[in-house]
Amino acid sequence: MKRVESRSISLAFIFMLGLFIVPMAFTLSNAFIVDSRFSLSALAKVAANPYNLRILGFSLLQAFLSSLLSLSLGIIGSYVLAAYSFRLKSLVRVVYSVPFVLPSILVVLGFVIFWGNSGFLNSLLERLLGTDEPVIKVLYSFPAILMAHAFYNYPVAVNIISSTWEAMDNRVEMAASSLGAGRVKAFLTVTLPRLKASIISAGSLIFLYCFTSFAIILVLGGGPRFTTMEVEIYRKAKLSMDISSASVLCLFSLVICLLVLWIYNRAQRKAKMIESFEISSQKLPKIKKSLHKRGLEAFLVYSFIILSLIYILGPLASIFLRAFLSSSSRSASRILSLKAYEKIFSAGSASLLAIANSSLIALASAIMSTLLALELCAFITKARTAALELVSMLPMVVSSVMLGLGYWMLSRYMGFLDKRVLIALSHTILSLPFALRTLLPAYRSLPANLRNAALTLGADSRKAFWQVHFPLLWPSVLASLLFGFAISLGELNATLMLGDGRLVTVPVLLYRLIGSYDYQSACALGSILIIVSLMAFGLGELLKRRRHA
Amino acid sequence: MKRIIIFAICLLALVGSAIATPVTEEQASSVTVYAYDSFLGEWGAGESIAKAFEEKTGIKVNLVGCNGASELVQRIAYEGKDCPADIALGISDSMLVDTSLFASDLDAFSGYDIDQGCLIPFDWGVFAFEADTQKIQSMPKSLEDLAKPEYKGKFILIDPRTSSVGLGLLLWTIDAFGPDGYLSWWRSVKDNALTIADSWSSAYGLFTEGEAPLVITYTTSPVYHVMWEDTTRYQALEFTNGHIKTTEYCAILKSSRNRANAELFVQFLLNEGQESLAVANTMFPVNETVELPPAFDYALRPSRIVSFDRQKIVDNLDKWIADWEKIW
Repeated sequence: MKRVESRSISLAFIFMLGLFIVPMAFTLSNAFIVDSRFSLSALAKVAANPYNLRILGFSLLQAFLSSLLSLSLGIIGSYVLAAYSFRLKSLVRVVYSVPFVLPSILVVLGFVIFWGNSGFLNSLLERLLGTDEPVIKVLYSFPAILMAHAFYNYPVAVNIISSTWEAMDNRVEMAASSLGAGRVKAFLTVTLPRLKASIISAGSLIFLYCFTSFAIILVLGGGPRFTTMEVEIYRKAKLSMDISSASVLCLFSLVICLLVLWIYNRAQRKAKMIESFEISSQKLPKIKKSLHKRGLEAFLVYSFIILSLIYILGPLASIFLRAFLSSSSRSASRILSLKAYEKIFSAGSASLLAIANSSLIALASAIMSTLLALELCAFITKARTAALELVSMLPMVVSSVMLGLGYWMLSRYMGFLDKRVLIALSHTILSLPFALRTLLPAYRSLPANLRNAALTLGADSRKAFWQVHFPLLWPSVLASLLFGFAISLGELNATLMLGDGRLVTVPVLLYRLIGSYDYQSACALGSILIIVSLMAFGLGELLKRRRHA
Repeated sequence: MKRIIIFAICLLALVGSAIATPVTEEQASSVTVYAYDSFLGEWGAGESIAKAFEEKTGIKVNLVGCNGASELVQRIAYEGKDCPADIALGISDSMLVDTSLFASDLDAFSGYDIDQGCLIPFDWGVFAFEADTQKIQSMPKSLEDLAKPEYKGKFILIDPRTSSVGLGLLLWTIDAFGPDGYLSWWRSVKDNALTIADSWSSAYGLFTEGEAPLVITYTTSPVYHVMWEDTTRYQALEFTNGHIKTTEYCAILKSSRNRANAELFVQFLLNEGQESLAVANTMFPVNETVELPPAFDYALRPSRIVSFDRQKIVDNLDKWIADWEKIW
């Protein structure tokens, strides 16, 4: 048994080493090279500049506030999904998942079209109130950054937290209330502690995601007042051609984020094992409140659902609608047209090829990252050190500019592989942190004695895994697959670097459309991305239900 | 067991993509061009120019996309002597490049305005503010005008740290107000601007979505709207400060093993390729004998166009930007 595990570790390790650690180490080693000699002077120079410390502080602050907002909304959303049953619930859950796949430049566009000074919301309000001035002026300010980050990361929070919450045995709460605890007290003392691990998990992911945010902060925030580390790394690497300083800054954020992660990890390890999966053979059907009766409770729940749907669907629907609007001729008013769709589908089969490429790569990398994460889970839950867990989170923190350089290295030595395989492998690494964070809390609460019992009863370790552990892990495995799919579907930087500008995926095509002034076609392609991801998450929802039934 | 599954999946992925495009074999007579991505693909000028060149000369062109212009230069520097490229295409004049990588014996191109002894210009543009004439009537006439209260929230700027257009604006203000005065202009407009976007794409997206009626872009931007959307509502504005020119260059690598072919391709780019380059990039061709589509009449041609002194950029850019960062 031990031998099997050490072998699987070596596989996971080789994977990480070859695809991430070696190329990144090569790129980051530039931090110590000044005039082709080893030197710490670049390190000292960057550390001594108060400006760098200021932007580091701001990066951390905005990431912290953004995660706080996303988590608060996510906990409420998960509660609504876990505690109540209502019509079209599956659809709501599917819609909640979509924002995550969108490339940030499209989110910016969607936000502008919906929330902007001449956006849909303001046009509507101006007409209702009879004014000419925009009613809601929320963009180009600090709150706009938090709003866009919450839009992006609400799906992460809901997905991770609700997959734990729904698998939880709510007879414990019932016991608490029969013992006289009020609902608030029961939530705070019974439910929340059991959710702690998954909340911490979601929080750490969201934090890292916001830490490296770039376009959203600069465009929607209003400018250089809000500068993050990523912007500074970009400038150093791309405009000043100063790879050495860029590497130092990148190392800086790595160290800081590792520190933050380490704190999270400790908290999570303390939070684990509060509850194991229910092992009763007579599984009780989960009792959910139905919302058919009226009353304050139903009103509050429905208000939350409707407001959150507007918040999520507003920018998405704006992208959809914008794809059909074109202002041809000199007239000011926009008319409905299919021009954009005609254009993207007429130019050969570039769009269809892009959709095929993207789906193939996304499917492969989702499966690989989930399997790899399962392997790692087995090791991490047994290991004494948190090292491997921390290292596997690193792909999220490394600046995409530096990662691009690292991957270019990779493509030089692995050029014999098909580009799509190489890209799928890089996406596997990029979605590994998500897979791991989704699976780990569930894996940690697996009862070890179940597996031991299976082994004693004569099952081999393979059978024990598939028949005992896998069914318990299923909701999290599915969530991890979907995350992997979504991340790969929306990924741009590694694809551009490894594809030599030749391999076309949906985000690459989108990026080119935006680069050639064509926002209408970009929105049309964005709509296709939204539809594909709706279908993926919808399929996930169906599978989950079938499993429950 | 699970290990076997993973490998099976990897294998499946490999087989699944067996329809892969075959690796392009190095041909006896070929030329390899590293270019930024927008040169390739269905909207770039690259594929059609390469095809026409192949038909004319029989020399095979390998186009390699390197994402942006700076990745391109970094990649050449990393690859060193082993670099398979003969030509680097798309270096802009605000980029700081290591000129020792490129060939400087360029007698064949003596008629062109070679920069730093090795960069051959192929197209150029001029920075200007563009107005949406349906949203604004009284136009600003100078950079100083933008500081007036009437333009509050009416214009979009671009960050010089993340965009070459933003950098162009920074250089424009340094040219107009001097290295001692440019910061006071930025201070005077920083609360007046609607936002300072990260890239030209974001800024122009906000502009065409109607968020603000003015944006920093090129004098040639209206051409695109005339050509593809048949509208003249977007017009570039001439400012009394004069305007800054930007040039795009290509260069032949010192390590090129196909020197003669490379020279032929660059010559082709500077003659037959000029029109499709100008149209695809919406920029002006360097070869003035080229006839442009009538839509180019809608490009603004300001009376005073300045080229920023290249050496000054090399010497001072870091300091200018570092000082600029401090005002926010």
